[in-house]
Amino acid sequence: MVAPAHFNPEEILATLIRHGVKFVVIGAYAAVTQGWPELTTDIDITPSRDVRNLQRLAEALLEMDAKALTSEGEIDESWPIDDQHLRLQETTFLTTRFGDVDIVINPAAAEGYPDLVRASESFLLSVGGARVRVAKLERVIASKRISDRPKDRDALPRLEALLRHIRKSQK
Amino acid sequence: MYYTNEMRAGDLIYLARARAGMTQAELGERSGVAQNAVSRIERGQIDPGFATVVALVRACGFELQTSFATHDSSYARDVRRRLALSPRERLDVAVDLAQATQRAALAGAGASRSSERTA
Repeated sequence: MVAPAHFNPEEILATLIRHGVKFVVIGAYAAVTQGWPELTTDIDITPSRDVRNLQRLAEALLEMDAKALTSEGEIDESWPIDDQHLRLQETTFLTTRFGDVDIVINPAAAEGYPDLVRASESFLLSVGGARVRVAKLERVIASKRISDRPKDRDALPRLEALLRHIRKSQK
Repeated sequence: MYYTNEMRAGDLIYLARARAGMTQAELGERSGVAQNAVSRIERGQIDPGFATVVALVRACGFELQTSFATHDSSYARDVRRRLALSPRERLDVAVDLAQATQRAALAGAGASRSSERTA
């Protein structure tokens, strides 16, 4: 059983940016940047699927000593960190020396990176000195509605309340 | 409130009866299920059919609502990984998460939403 590393998402993002990876931050971490007041234990990203980008992503992950995790939380040494495997997996659960990273090629309620990267779906944010593209709260909510896991059902009322509050305050 | 699949039928019946403030005898009388059977169901000695569970819950004054959710094993994975830590290490991880979350929230709050969103 591999213990979770100290969570430093800024280092994860900075490493990805340094390697020139094109990606969008999705999931709970994206929601936190927009006011969701809850803890998240990992960072979820959707990368561009073009081969060169996945190669850069693999290089960045290797620099962070990334290892694939099984659903039981064990390290899967048989799973190589390379662009081919990243492209073939819909979702890859990884642990790195800066914390856990989930690579989600096609998040629920979106057609992957080309969909998320549009200005209507995401925005640029400075996180720890890195400029990263983050999925808008509306997109996070749509994704959770479709995923429909117990934890999504639990989070949705609070996410929707946050969105209502944001919209109201922007009027 | 929703219940997980860790719950047995007997637990569900017990909770419904307790919330209704009924005795096993009263539930038996109202549902037509023998008091002895109610007792054995609650203790897990009898695994009742779905229709019986529905009837007993209804006799307590409730409707049994069921629904599907997408299976998710990530809780189990996270729990196992945290149990592998010492209590002190678990606290350290929790502090890390809280600090990282706070930094992310501050980054979002510090950004000019209008200009950032159009970038």
